Amino acid sequence: MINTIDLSEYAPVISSDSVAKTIYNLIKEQIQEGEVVIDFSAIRIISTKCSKLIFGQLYKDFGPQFFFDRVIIKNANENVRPSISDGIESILQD
Amino acid sequence: MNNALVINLPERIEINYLTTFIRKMNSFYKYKNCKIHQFYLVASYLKSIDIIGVLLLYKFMEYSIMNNCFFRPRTIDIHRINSQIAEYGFGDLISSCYSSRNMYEEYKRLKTISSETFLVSPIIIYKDNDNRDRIEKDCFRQIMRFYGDGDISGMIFMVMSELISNFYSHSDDQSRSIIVAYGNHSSVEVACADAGEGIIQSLRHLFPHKADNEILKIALKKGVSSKPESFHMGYGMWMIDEAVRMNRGRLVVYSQNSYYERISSSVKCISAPLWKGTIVYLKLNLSIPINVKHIIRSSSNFKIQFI
Repeated sequence: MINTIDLSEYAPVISSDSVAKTIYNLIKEQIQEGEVVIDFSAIRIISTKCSKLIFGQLYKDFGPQFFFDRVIIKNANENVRPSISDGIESILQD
Repeated sequence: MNNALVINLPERIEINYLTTFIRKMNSFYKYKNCKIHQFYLVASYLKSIDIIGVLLLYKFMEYSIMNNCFFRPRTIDIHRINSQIAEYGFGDLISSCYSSRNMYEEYKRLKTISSETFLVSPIIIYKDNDNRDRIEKDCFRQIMRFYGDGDISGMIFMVMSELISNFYSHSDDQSRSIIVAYGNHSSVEVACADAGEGIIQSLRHLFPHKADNEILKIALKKGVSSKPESFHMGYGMWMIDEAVRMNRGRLVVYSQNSYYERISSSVKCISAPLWKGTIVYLKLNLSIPINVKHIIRSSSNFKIQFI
Protein backbone atom coordinates (compact mmCIF):
# COMPACT_ATOMS: atom_id res chain seq x y z
CA MET A 1 0.00 0.00 0.00
CA ILE A 2 1.40 3.42 -0.96
CA ASN A 3 0.24 6.59 0.78
CA THR A 4 1.05 10.10 -0.45
CA ILE A 5 1.63 13.14 1.74
CA ASP A 6 1.38 16.42 -0.14
CA LEU A 7 3.37 19.19 1.57
CA SER A 8 1.90 22.06 -0.47
CA GLU A 9 0.01 23.50 2.50
CA TYR A 10 3.40 24.26 4.08
CA ALA A 11 4.79 25.90 0.96
CA PRO A 12 7.12 27.45 0.02
CA VAL A 13 9.45 27.01 3.02
CA ILE A 14 9.51 24.46 5.84
CA SER A 15 11.40 26.11 8.67
CA SER A 16 9.46 25.99 11.92
CA ASP A 17 9.67 23.28 14.57
CA SER A 18 5.89 22.92 14.86
CA VAL A 19 5.47 22.30 11.12
CA ALA A 20 8.36 19.83 11.19
CA LYS A 21 6.75 17.92 14.05
CA THR A 22 3.40 17.84 12.26
CA ILE A 23 5.03 16.40 9.14
CA TYR A 24 7.04 13.94 11.19
CA ASN A 25 3.90 12.65 12.91
CA LEU A 26 2.06 12.34 9.58
CA ILE A 27 4.83 10.25 8.06
CA LYS A 28 5.35 8.17 11.18
CA GLU A 29 1.69 7.23 11.26
CA GLN A 30 1.58 6.13 7.64
CA ILE A 31 4.98 4.56 7.29
CA GLN A 32 3.88 1.66 9.44
CA GLU A 33 1.20 0.73 6.91
CA GLY A 34 3.49 0.73 3.90
CA GLU A 35 5.46 2.96 1.54
CA VAL A 36 4.95 6.70 1.88
CA VAL A 37 5.49 9.16 -0.96
CA ILE A 38 6.26 12.65 0.33
CA ASP A 39 5.55 15.21 -2.37
CA PHE A 40 7.87 18.24 -2.20
CA SER A 41 6.60 19.86 -5.43
CA ALA A 42 5.62 23.11 -3.75
CA ILE A 43 8.55 23.28 -1.30
CA ARG A 44 11.52 25.46 -2.25
CA ILE A 45 13.58 25.16 0.95
CA ILE A 46 13.55 23.01 4.06
CA SER A 47 15.72 24.24 6.91
CA THR A 48 18.49 21.98 8.11
CA LYS A 49 16.95 21.73 11.56
CA CYS A 50 13.58 20.68 10.14
CA SER A 51 15.25 18.05 7.97
CA LYS A 52 16.83 16.57 11.05
CA LEU A 53 13.58 16.79 13.02
CA ILE A 54 11.68 14.94 10.31
CA PHE A 55 13.95 12.62 8.38
CA GLY A 56 16.78 12.28 10.84
CA GLN A 57 14.35 11.30 13.57
CA LEU A 58 12.43 8.87 11.33
CA TYR A 59 15.70 7.23 10.34
CA LYS A 60 16.60 6.90 13.98
CA ASP A 61 13.16 5.60 14.99
CA PHE A 62 12.85 2.93 12.32
CA GLY A 63 16.40 2.11 11.30
CA PRO A 64 18.03 2.49 7.89
CA GLN A 65 16.55 -0.49 6.03
CA PHE A 66 12.95 0.21 7.03
CA PHE A 67 13.39 3.93 6.37
CA PHE A 68 14.90 3.56 2.90
CA ASP A 69 12.37 0.91 1.92
CA ARG A 70 9.33 2.91 2.96
CA VAL A 71 10.19 6.61 2.46
CA ILE A 72 10.00 7.96 -1.08
CA ILE A 73 10.79 11.64 -1.68
CA LYS A 74 9.05 13.04 -4.75
CA ASN A 75 9.96 16.22 -6.67
CA ALA A 76 12.53 17.46 -4.18
CA ASN A 77 14.57 20.19 -5.85
CA GLU A 78 18.34 20.62 -5.78
CA ASN A 79 18.15 22.67 -2.59
CA VAL A 80 15.93 20.27 -0.67
CA ARG A 81 17.85 17.05 -1.40
CA PRO A 82 21.14 17.96 0.29
CA SER A 83 19.27 19.30 3.29
CA ILE A 84 17.44 15.98 3.73
CA SER A 85 20.63 13.97 3.36
CA ASP A 86 22.48 16.11 5.87
CA GLY A 87 19.57 15.95 8.29
CA ILE A 88 19.94 12.17 8.39
CA GLU A 89 23.71 12.29 8.53
CA SER A 90 23.56 14.70 11.42
CA ILE A 91 21.46 12.37 13.57
CA LEU A 92 24.05 9.64 13.06
CA GLN A 93 26.71 11.93 14.45
CA ASP A 94 24.80 12.67 17.66
CA MET B 1 17.81 72.22 29.26
CA ASN B 2 19.78 72.73 32.46
CA ASN B 3 20.23 69.57 34.52
CA ALA B 4 18.73 67.59 31.68
CA LEU B 5 20.21 64.40 30.29
CA VAL B 6 20.76 64.96 26.59
CA ILE B 7 21.92 62.42 24.03
CA ASN B 8 22.70 63.81 20.61
CA LEU B 9 22.31 61.24 17.87
CA PRO B 10 25.42 61.13 15.65
CA GLU B 11 25.49 62.39 12.07
CA ARG B 12 25.24 58.94 10.60
CA ILE B 13 23.47 55.88 11.94
CA GLU B 14 24.44 53.38 9.29
CA ILE B 15 26.08 49.99 8.98
CA ASN B 16 29.50 51.62 8.42
CA TYR B 17 29.15 53.54 11.69
CA LEU B 18 27.59 50.81 13.81
CA THR B 19 30.13 50.69 16.63
CA THR B 20 30.15 54.49 16.90
CA PHE B 21 26.39 54.55 17.34
CA ILE B 22 26.32 51.72 19.88
CA ARG B 23 29.15 53.29 21.88
CA LYS B 24 27.14 56.50 22.13
CA MET B 25 23.86 54.82 22.99
CA ASN B 26 24.80 52.00 25.34
CA SER B 27 24.81 54.35 28.29
CA PHE B 28 21.08 53.52 28.27
CA TYR B 29 21.92 50.29 30.06
CA LYS B 30 23.05 52.08 33.20
CA TYR B 31 19.76 53.97 33.43
CA LYS B 32 17.70 50.82 33.94
CA ASN B 33 14.88 51.54 36.42
CA CYS B 34 16.22 55.06 37.03
CA LYS B 35 13.14 56.88 35.61
CA ILE B 36 15.26 59.91 34.84
CA HIS B 37 13.26 63.10 34.43
CA GLN B 38 14.22 65.52 31.68
CA PHE B 39 15.75 63.20 29.14
CA TYR B 40 16.12 64.44 25.56
CA LEU B 41 17.08 62.43 22.50
CA VAL B 42 18.26 64.96 19.93
CA ALA B 43 18.31 64.26 16.19
CA SER B 44 19.32 67.78 15.09
CA TYR B 45 22.71 66.69 13.76
CA LEU B 46 21.53 63.48 12.14
CA LYS B 47 22.20 63.46 8.40
CA SER B 48 21.61 59.89 7.32
CA ILE B 49 20.21 56.63 8.64
CA ASP B 50 19.81 53.25 6.99
CA ILE B 51 17.81 50.10 7.73
CA ILE B 52 20.10 48.90 10.52
CA GLY B 53 20.14 52.40 11.98
CA VAL B 54 16.35 52.63 12.18
CA LEU B 55 16.14 49.13 13.67
CA LEU B 56 18.71 49.82 16.38
CA LEU B 57 17.32 53.26 17.18
CA TYR B 58 13.97 51.60 17.75
CA LYS B 59 15.59 48.84 19.88
CA PHE B 60 17.22 51.43 22.16
CA MET B 61 13.92 53.29 22.52
CA GLU B 62 12.17 50.01 23.27
CA TYR B 63 14.80 49.10 25.86
CA SER B 64 14.45 52.44 27.61
CA ILE B 65 10.66 52.05 27.82
CA MET B 66 10.63 48.40 28.90
CA ASN B 67 13.27 49.08 31.56
CA ASN B 68 11.92 52.37 32.91
CA CYS B 69 15.04 54.33 32.08
CA PHE B 70 13.31 57.67 31.68
CA PHE B 71 10.20 59.47 32.82
CA ARG B 72 8.42 61.06 29.86
CA PRO B 73 11.43 61.15 27.52
CA ARG B 74 11.39 63.73 24.77
CA THR B 75 12.80 63.71 21.27
CA ILE B 76 13.95 66.75 19.34
CA ASP B 77 13.96 66.95 15.54
CA ILE B 78 13.21 63.27 15.10
CA HIS B 79 10.98 64.36 12.21
CA ARG B 80 14.22 64.67 10.19
CA ILE B 81 14.15 60.92 9.70
CA ASN B 82 10.39 60.44 9.35
CA SER B 83 10.74 59.38 5.73
CA GLN B 84 13.33 56.70 6.55
CA ILE B 85 11.29 55.49 9.51
CA ALA B 86 8.32 55.12 7.18
CA GLU B 87 10.40 53.66 4.36
CA TYR B 88 11.57 50.78 6.56
CA GLY B 89 8.16 50.20 8.07
CA PHE B 90 8.91 51.36 11.60
CA GLY B 91 6.24 54.08 11.75
CA ASP B 92 3.82 52.18 13.98
CA LEU B 93 6.52 50.80 16.26
CA ILE B 94 8.19 54.14 16.88
CA SER B 95 4.82 55.86 17.31
CA SER B 96 3.99 53.34 20.01
CA CYS B 97 7.04 54.55 21.92
CA TYR B 98 5.36 57.94 22.30
CA SER B 99 1.89 56.80 23.13
CA SER B 100 0.24 54.46 25.53
CA ARG B 101 -0.63 52.09 22.67
CA ASN B 102 0.22 48.49 23.22
CA MET B 103 3.66 47.93 21.76
CA TYR B 104 2.81 44.35 20.97
CA GLU B 105 -0.24 45.01 18.83
CA GLU B 106 -0.37 43.51 15.41
CA TYR B 107 0.30 45.65 12.42
CA LYS B 108 0.44 45.16 8.73
CA ARG B 109 3.48 43.10 8.12
CA LEU B 110 4.33 43.23 4.52
CA LYS B 111 4.38 46.02 2.03
CA THR B 112 5.50 46.42 -1.52
CA ILE B 113 6.22 50.13 -1.66
CA SER B 114 6.54 50.35 -5.41
CA SER B 115 7.32 48.07 -8.27
CA GLU B 116 11.02 48.85 -7.76
CA THR B 117 11.43 48.12 -4.05
CA PHE B 118 10.40 45.43 -1.63
CA LEU B 119 9.92 45.63 2.12
CA VAL B 120 9.33 43.02 4.76
CA SER B 121 7.99 45.29 7.49
CA PRO B 122 9.45 44.71 10.95
CA ILE B 123 8.37 41.34 12.28
CA ILE B 124 8.60 40.59 15.98
CA ILE B 125 9.72 36.99 16.47
CA TYR B 126 7.63 35.69 19.33
CA LYS B 127 8.04 32.38 21.11
CA ASP B 128 4.62 31.54 19.71
CA ASN B 129 4.47 28.81 17.12
CA ASP B 130 1.17 29.81 15.49
CA ASN B 131 2.36 33.39 15.05
CA ARG B 132 5.66 32.27 13.61
CA ASP B 133 4.06 29.87 11.14
CA ARG B 134 1.65 32.50 9.90
CA ILE B 135 4.32 35.19 9.60
CA GLU B 136 6.74 32.97 7.76
CA LYS B 137 4.12 31.73 5.35
CA ASP B 138 2.96 35.28 4.54
CA CYS B 139 6.51 36.59 4.35
CA PHE B 140 7.86 33.91 2.06
CA ARG B 141 4.89 34.01 -0.28
CA GLN B 142 5.29 37.78 -0.64
CA ILE B 143 8.99 37.35 -1.39
CA MET B 144 8.10 34.89 -4.11
CA ARG B 145 5.52 37.26 -5.57
CA PHE B 146 8.08 40.07 -5.85
CA TYR B 147 11.17 38.11 -6.92
CA GLY B 148 9.50 35.24 -8.73
CA ASP B 149 9.88 31.53 -8.15
CA GLY B 150 13.57 31.05 -8.83
CA ASP B 151 17.08 31.14 -7.42
CA ILE B 152 16.81 34.68 -6.04
CA SER B 153 13.79 33.82 -3.91
CA GLY B 154 15.53 30.59 -2.91
CA MET B 155 18.52 32.53 -1.63
CA ILE B 156 16.39 34.96 0.35
CA PHE B 157 14.32 32.08 1.78
CA MET B 158 17.47 30.28 2.84
CA VAL B 159 19.04 33.17 4.74
CA MET B 160 15.80 34.43 6.30
CA SER B 161 14.62 31.00 7.43
CA GLU B 162 17.97 30.17 9.01
CA LEU B 163 18.13 33.62 10.63
CA ILE B 164 14.58 33.43 12.02
CA SER B 165 15.24 29.91 13.25
CA ASN B 166 18.35 31.08 15.11
CA PHE B 167 16.76 34.09 16.73
CA TYR B 168 13.60 32.13 17.55
CA SER B 169 15.43 29.28 19.25
CA HIS B 170 17.43 31.66 21.44
CA SER B 171 14.57 34.00 22.25
CA ASP B 172 12.71 34.42 25.51
CA ASP B 173 10.06 36.87 26.72
CA GLN B 174 12.59 39.64 27.07
CA SER B 175 14.60 39.28 23.91
CA ARG B 176 12.06 40.78 21.47
CA SER B 177 13.78 39.75 18.24
CA ILE B 178 12.83 41.95 15.29
CA ILE B 179 13.63 41.16 11.66
CA VAL B 180 13.20 43.49 8.69
CA ALA B 181 14.20 43.20 5.04
CA TYR B 182 14.41 45.73 2.23
CA GLY B 183 15.37 45.22 -1.37
CA ASN B 184 15.14 46.10 -5.01
CA HIS B 185 16.09 44.24 -8.15
CA SER B 186 19.82 44.43 -7.53
CA SER B 187 20.26 43.76 -3.81
CA VAL B 188 18.51 42.79 -0.60
CA GLU B 189 19.31 43.86 2.96
CA VAL B 190 18.15 41.86 5.96
CA ALA B 191 18.57 43.13 9.52
CA CYS B 192 17.68 41.39 12.76
CA ALA B 193 18.29 42.40 16.37
CA ASP B 194 17.37 41.16 19.81
CA ALA B 195 18.04 41.96 23.45
CA GLY B 196 18.63 38.37 24.46
CA GLU B 197 21.42 36.35 25.96
CA GLY B 198 23.95 36.94 23.20
CA ILE B 199 26.01 34.44 21.21
CA ILE B 200 29.08 34.54 23.41
CA GLN B 201 27.20 33.88 26.60
CA SER B 202 25.27 31.03 24.98
CA LEU B 203 28.48 29.32 23.84
CA ARG B 204 30.70 30.17 26.81
CA HIS B 205 30.12 26.80 28.49
CA LEU B 206 31.55 25.04 25.43
CA PHE B 207 34.61 27.28 25.14
CA PRO B 208 35.41 28.45 28.66
CA HIS B 209 38.97 29.54 27.87
CA LYS B 210 38.43 31.35 24.59
CA ALA B 211 38.33 35.13 24.21
CA ASP B 212 34.94 36.64 23.41
CA ASN B 213 35.66 37.56 19.80
CA GLU B 214 37.20 34.12 19.21
CA ILE B 215 33.94 32.56 20.35
CA LEU B 216 31.96 34.77 17.99
CA LYS B 217 34.13 33.66 15.08
CA ILE B 218 33.73 30.00 16.10
CA ALA B 219 29.95 30.45 16.23
CA LEU B 220 29.91 30.84 12.44
CA LYS B 221 31.66 27.55 11.81
CA LYS B 222 29.80 24.50 10.57
CA GLY B 223 28.31 22.31 13.27
CA VAL B 224 28.74 24.73 16.18
CA SER B 225 25.63 24.89 18.34
CA SER B 226 24.96 26.07 21.86
CA LYS B 227 22.59 23.09 22.13
CA PRO B 228 24.59 20.18 20.71
CA GLU B 229 22.30 17.54 22.19
CA SER B 230 19.21 18.99 20.55
CA PHE B 231 18.05 18.99 16.93
CA HIS B 232 20.14 22.05 16.20
CA MET B 233 22.71 21.12 13.60
CA GLY B 234 24.76 24.27 14.03
CA TYR B 235 24.39 24.98 10.32
CA GLY B 236 22.38 28.22 10.34
CA MET B 237 25.01 30.93 10.81
CA TRP B 238 27.58 28.91 8.88
CA MET B 239 25.25 28.71 5.88
CA ILE B 240 24.55 32.44 6.04
CA ASP B 241 28.28 33.19 6.25
CA GLU B 242 29.06 30.86 3.34
CA ALA B 243 26.25 32.34 1.25
CA VAL B 244 27.59 35.85 1.81
CA ARG B 245 31.14 34.73 0.97
CA MET B 246 30.08 33.13 -2.32
CA ASN B 247 27.72 35.99 -3.09
CA ARG B 248 30.47 38.58 -2.46
CA GLY B 249 28.01 40.25 -0.13
CA ARG B 250 28.34 41.67 3.35
CA LEU B 251 27.61 40.18 6.74
CA VAL B 252 27.84 41.76 10.18
CA VAL B 253 27.25 39.78 13.35
CA TYR B 254 27.42 41.88 16.50
CA SER B 255 26.90 40.22 19.85
CA GLN B 256 27.62 41.55 23.31
CA ASN B 257 31.10 43.06 23.03
CA SER B 258 32.25 41.45 19.79
CA TYR B 259 31.88 42.39 16.15
CA TYR B 260 32.30 40.05 13.17
CA GLU B 261 32.27 41.36 9.64
CA ARG B 262 32.61 39.61 6.31
CA ILE B 263 32.85 41.58 3.09
CA SER B 264 33.10 39.08 0.27
CA SER B 265 36.02 36.82 1.24
CA SER B 266 37.55 39.20 3.77
CA VAL B 267 36.78 38.67 7.45
CA LYS B 268 37.51 40.54 10.66
CA CYS B 269 36.42 39.87 14.25
CA ILE B 270 37.17 42.47 16.89
CA SER B 271 36.15 43.76 20.29
CA ALA B 272 33.35 46.32 20.27
CA PRO B 273 31.16 48.44 22.58
CA LEU B 274 28.55 46.43 24.44
CA TRP B 275 25.25 45.51 22.83
CA LYS B 276 23.15 43.35 25.14
CA GLY B 277 21.95 40.78 22.64
CA THR B 278 22.70 40.02 18.99
CA ILE B 279 22.50 41.99 15.75
CA VAL B 280 22.79 40.41 12.31
CA TYR B 281 22.92 42.45 9.13
CA LEU B 282 23.48 41.12 5.65
CA LYS B 283 23.43 42.50 2.15
CA LEU B 284 23.18 40.18 -0.83
CA ASN B 285 23.81 40.81 -4.52
CA LEU B 286 20.93 39.44 -6.48
CA SER B 287 23.15 38.96 -9.54
CA ILE B 288 24.85 36.02 -7.75
CA PRO B 289 22.08 33.87 -6.29
CA ILE B 290 23.52 31.33 -3.86
CA ASN B 291 21.40 28.46 -2.65
CA VAL B 292 21.61 25.41 -0.43
CA LYS B 293 22.92 23.29 -3.31
CA HIS B 294 26.01 25.53 -3.55
CA ILE B 295 26.77 25.26 0.17
CA ILE B 296 25.81 21.77 1.30
CA ARG B 297 27.65 19.25 -0.82
CA SER B 298 26.35 16.09 0.70
CA SER B 299 28.76 13.21 0.33
CA SER B 300 26.54 10.66 2.00
CA ASN B 301 25.81 7.31 0.39
CA PHE B 302 22.29 7.09 1.70
CA LYS B 303 19.94 5.13 -0.50
CA ILE B 304 17.14 7.67 -0.27
CA GLN B 305 14.49 7.09 -2.92
CA PHE B 306 14.29 10.40 -4.76
CA ILE B 307 11.78 10.33 -7.64
